[in-house]
Amino acid sequence: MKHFTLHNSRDEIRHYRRRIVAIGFFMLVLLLALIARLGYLQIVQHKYYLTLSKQNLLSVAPIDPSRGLIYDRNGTLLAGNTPVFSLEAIADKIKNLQGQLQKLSGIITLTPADLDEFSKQLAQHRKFNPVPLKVKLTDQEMSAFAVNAYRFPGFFVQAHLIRDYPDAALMEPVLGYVGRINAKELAGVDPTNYSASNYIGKEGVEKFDETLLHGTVGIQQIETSAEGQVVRSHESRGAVAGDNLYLTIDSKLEADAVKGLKGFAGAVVAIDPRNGEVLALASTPSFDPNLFVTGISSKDYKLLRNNPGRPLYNRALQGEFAPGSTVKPFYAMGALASGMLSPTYHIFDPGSFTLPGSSHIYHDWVRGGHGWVDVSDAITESCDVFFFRLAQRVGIEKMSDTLKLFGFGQPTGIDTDTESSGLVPTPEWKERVKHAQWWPGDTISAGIGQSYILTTPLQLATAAMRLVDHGGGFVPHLLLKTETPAGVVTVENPTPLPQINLPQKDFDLVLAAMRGVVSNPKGTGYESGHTAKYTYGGKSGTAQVFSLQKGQKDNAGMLPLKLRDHSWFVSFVPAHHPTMVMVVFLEHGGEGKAPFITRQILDSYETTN
Amino acid sequence: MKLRIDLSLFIGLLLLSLMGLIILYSAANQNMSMVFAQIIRFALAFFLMFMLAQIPPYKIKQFAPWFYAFGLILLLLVLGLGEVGKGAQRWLSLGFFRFQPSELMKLAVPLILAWYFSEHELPPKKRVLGVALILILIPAVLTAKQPDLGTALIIASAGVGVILLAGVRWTVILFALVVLGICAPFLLHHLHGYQRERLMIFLNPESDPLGAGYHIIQSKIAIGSGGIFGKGYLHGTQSHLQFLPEHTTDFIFAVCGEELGLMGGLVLISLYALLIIRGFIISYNAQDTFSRLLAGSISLTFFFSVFINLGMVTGILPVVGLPLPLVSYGGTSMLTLIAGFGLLMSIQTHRRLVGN
Repeated sequence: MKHFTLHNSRDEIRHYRRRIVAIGFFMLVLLLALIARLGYLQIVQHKYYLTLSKQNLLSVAPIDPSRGLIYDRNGTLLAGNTPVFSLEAIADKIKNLQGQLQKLSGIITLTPADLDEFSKQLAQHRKFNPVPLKVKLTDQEMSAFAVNAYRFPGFFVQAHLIRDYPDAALMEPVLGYVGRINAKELAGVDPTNYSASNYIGKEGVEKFDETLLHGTVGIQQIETSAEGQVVRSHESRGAVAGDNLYLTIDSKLEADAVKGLKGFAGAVVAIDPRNGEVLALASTPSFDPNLFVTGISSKDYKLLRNNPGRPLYNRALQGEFAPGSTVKPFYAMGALASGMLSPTYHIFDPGSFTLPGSSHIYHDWVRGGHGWVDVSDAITESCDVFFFRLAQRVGIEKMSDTLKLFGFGQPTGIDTDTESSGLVPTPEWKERVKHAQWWPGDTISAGIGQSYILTTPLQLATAAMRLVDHGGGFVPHLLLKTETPAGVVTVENPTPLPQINLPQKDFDLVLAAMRGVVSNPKGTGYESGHTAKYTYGGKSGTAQVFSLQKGQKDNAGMLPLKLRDHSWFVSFVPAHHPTMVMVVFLEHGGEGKAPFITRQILDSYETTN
Repeated sequence: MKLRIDLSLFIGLLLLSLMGLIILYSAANQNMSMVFAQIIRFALAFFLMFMLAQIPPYKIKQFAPWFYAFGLILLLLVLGLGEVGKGAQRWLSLGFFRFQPSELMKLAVPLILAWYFSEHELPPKKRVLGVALILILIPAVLTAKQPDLGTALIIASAGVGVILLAGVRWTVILFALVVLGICAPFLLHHLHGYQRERLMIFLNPESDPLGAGYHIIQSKIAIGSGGIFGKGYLHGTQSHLQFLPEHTTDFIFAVCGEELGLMGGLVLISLYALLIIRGFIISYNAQDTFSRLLAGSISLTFFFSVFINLGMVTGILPVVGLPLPLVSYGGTSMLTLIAGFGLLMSIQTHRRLVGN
């Protein structure tokens, strides 16, 4: 107790008491200031505020900014705004809301979905703010309501702009769609800026670029009488429309792609390897996003959800599938660069392969085998046994490293909503997730793009871009440029991907082999491609969904659709200095279909370009 | 064992909560269930207050550093979780109920400062002063980061109040004010976007009539239109027509101002003043340094809670988001403030007759 004498000393107490009186006095001054402020508001300015409160009620109302338009790279409109007349209600001004709604349904069709959405929206808005009841009134409904409007105080017709997708289902995989904003989405945005907005981007570019597209809310001052009647209003700050977006998409190519996919569930992704611009991003079957804008009925939604073709599922971005033989060029790159494979190394393929000490026979897709092949032939002819041997020699770790180097197993970073990351397996991964050991046989099937490897069509296209660009390439992107309402255009700069440092001669070798796929009579793309008036290269892939018994083949297409193989073709065109890489994916398309669809899409694209 | 209780504090608190419930009933559009929920909170808070009043101050003092450390850990925890959630995170959920650790700090900071100063020579040396400032700044900054500027402001101002009480020379205070004035633009720069915006809106409410400016404008209309005697209980138009947002929580005083007028406001402020004065008297008469400083600090915390809220609602302070003690709907803030009164009662009722 070294400070004992000072603690509780008279001096300290006296000092403390002086302080507390001083601070008490200071607080008293603050309280008096507060009372003075109250006096000022309630006595001096009382009349002024009373008047304000009586006319009140000078309130402010937000003005909805019009949403930015979306164009393709050539200025074709992909998403516009179209005027509709909607029936709205201000809850505060309606007595017996339920009764009035009953009466209204006599003259206007109100579905349970409309009423459901209405009550949801009511809960989200202030009582004195208008809430939409029915978004799109028909002409008949308009006139029916106009005649009866006097019976429904608090209800009124309001003109609005709503989103319109002129191409309906065609562009949905790219654009996504807008829909009614919900409470959760409202919590993620500035509520003031959205106080007049009924819509928000739900998927795709509409969601990803929401902040660009939305614009800034305007303000109008509304004088309301005490009964709630609007006396007059004037705009004190106009709403600022959202930016117009120009996408990298070529709607002609997109349409060609969808035409090519006709009859299949599948995806097409095309990228310009010189800058990463995504020229087409198609997924079929798709759906009409216009359905979602006005609020889809639960019946329509159920139809979409239960459709066996799964139209709500964006295969190009979210679909994860085994890449099959399309990964062979990448494995070749890795093995060549590490020196584990020499360009002159060749094997004799008898048509099958067995691991030492195992009885399991891995068959080549060509019965009887390819004979003598080197790495170049193995890519061109898609020799399985060559890559079984290579896998055995290189091992799964190095194989996975190569795939990761080319961007497999991770999102590409494309500027749109929700892409899947795919999967590059490792023994640790299998142990952790599948709780099973990695078998040597897993490595062998990995050699031809099976056993747990998954890629999205976009990912494969991005990897192909990096291959044809000799290790360079750009982050694939959809936004080409933006244009503010004032006309200021900002062009987006492509983001280069980090250079893959592998020997340029190895790239040359692999790309030459891929050109051989189309030009060499032994190539897997020769039959579909050699008559083309332009040059291109590529690589086919077939991903088994179902293991056939040994020696068995689904030649007659007798397997049920769900068990049929996925078919891939990744291509680049022209064969030298390509301006486009394209991935065609057919879900359960059956072996060897994708090369022909690729040719069909390229043909219709090349003839018009 | 007799029940230790300070009758004047108790009666003052009772009157104030009664008036609070009456105002709440009107503000909540005569929703009785909200009033009942509030009564249950009051009952809990008063029970806690009585429990604390039975604990002698020397025991409270032993407990002070632990309480502070505990509160700080919770605050860090909540901030960590908030980082994960990428938004404002003030709440810690205990499953059956949630609370804000920053509210704990409103008691923990007075406790730790009273403890710390009572362990050192007074008036404090520079080094002691420095440590005290750090003890205040850590929770204040963490709370501001949540972001909860209102509570941070109270923690900071109450802490500074204790330093003043501990006997810092006025020249030092003057110097600190000058430094603060110089640093202000820098601090402003570090505020969260919306906090800075609110400050700007305070300076010019008409610049944002849809957002925070709307609150201030509507609240001033409600209060001003009340006049001297008010529009009559349950007869306010502004709050009931829903022109006034947050009229049961932060802006509840506007309902009082509109319906009960200047007179109602004066009654309310007088009740607050009585409680604060009683707290100061307890501090004035306390028998040891710890009790003195703690009592003074708790009273200051209460004062600032009232002053900042009323200042904000009447438009002389920026909107920082802070409830009006014992009147606003809601629990945590009320619980810590009333618990503070429990500590005051303990200090007052455990005095012994000793000669100076």
